Amino acid sequence: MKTSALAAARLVALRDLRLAFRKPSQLLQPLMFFMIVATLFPLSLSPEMSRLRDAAPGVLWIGALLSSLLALEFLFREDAVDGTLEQFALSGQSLTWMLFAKTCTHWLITGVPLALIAPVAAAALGVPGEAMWGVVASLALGSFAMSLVGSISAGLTLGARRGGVLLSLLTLPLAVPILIFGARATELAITGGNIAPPMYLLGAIAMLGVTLAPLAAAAAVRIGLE
Amino acid sequence: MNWTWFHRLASPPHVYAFAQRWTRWFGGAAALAMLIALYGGLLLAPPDYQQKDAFRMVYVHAPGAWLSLMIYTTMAVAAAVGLIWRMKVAHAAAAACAPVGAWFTVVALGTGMLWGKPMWGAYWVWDPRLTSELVLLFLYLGYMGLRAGIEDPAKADKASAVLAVVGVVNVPIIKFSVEWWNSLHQTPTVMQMGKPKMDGDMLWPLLLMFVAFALYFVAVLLTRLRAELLRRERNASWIREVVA
Amino acid sequence: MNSSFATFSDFLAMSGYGKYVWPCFLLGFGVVILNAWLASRSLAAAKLEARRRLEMNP
Repeated sequence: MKTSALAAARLVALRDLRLAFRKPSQLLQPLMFFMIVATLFPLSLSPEMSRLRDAAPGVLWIGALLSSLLALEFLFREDAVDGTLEQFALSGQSLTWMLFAKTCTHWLITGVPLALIAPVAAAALGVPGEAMWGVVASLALGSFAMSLVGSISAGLTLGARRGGVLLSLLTLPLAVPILIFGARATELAITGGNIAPPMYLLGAIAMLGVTLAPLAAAAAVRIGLE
Repeated sequence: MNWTWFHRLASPPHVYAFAQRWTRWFGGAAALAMLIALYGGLLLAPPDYQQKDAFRMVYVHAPGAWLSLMIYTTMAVAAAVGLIWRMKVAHAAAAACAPVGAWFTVVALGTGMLWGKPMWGAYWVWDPRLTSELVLLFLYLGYMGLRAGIEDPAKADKASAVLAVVGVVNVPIIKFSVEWWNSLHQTPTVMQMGKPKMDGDMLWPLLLMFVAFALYFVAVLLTRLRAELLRRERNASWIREVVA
Repeated sequence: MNSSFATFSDFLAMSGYGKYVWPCFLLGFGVVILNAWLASRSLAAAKLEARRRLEMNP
């Protein structure tokens, strides 16, 4: 019985989810990091609520970006180290689809929890309750785009020494548009404006990522495994 | 169509010989063109109605910026050729482009800051064109960092090639950013459909300076490419004749 | 050939913008000279390395 690409991808996704929940501490670390970063800003800037509210979009997004960089570490690294990634590449199944499945799962276990926990940090930064839906939505979509972009640089740095720092350096330039539109969407949500335009742009970036990132990531992984 | 010229490009000794012969001509032509363009731009061109003599900064800023984009595109094309046709020379060419391209990006950003202060009142604004040009610098640095971080030369070639190709999406963003978004930066006056909006006396030194920088880039590229080929080819026999 | 400037001081002053214009050109052409030098130095070093390698493996 020949397994289709989608079926193989589904198996990879389920595997990743199962493995992730066996080590819940690993899932909590990026979230804790995000909360700590969000706390450090009021301590270093000013405890005044109005000023914090103005800075909130930036603080939330930088915290989210840094936290997702941390989380990208375990997108491919463990599988590369124990040889599973090699097996995926050799399996004859579509590596592109399998990596896309891995990236989506990665977003489900890192990006989505981050978006859901963001209201706590946002409240501490003086963000009003009505804005919370916008905050969650923009961070959810933005972190999806981040995972996609990050999969490319994670694939590229597989064979590199001190890959962690290099991963961050490579991901950030590519993540700049996500940051710009995502922060704009969060800002509009807080001030009560219409978040649709930047959300559409963010969605467009995510769609571009969905079509191109897994291809680039698969190419990068194959190069790294040679 | 006769593809011999393309296949010859894959041969390191052939490319090396070509580079050795032609570098000085490109360099000499570049130097001459730069001097004439400087004379035209600094002395002959009349001052601008609004910006007076400050506009003369365009003669460094615009060619620098154009080159930063052109070099990245060249690098990405070379990288793609290297990936698709597995040509080592193409990968060597891409590697040779990066340092020069990064420096031209620094020139574009630095001269832009020096021009921005008197004109806009600020050294830097976070507008789309400046931000994406800064991202271009990070891409160049990331490219060089990735190459340095991977031990195996073949892997380094291919991984950085993927990065170069992925990053090329930034080039049209930079180019069209001033048209797509409300930007503080000036909209295109030269490279646009239809006649350039600049006055003839001011325009020719600019175009000549662009040509000069491009010729200069070829000279530097051919020099660095030779160095790359020497390093990569290790103990190949053709190197004996070249180096002895 | 008519220069746009009446005197050399005018040329240096650049209608008041001199302190921006001249560093600008210095940066641009400084980088040009620097890269030419760096490239030729890289080539010289590569040639030296190659010569040494060939001496070790005749």
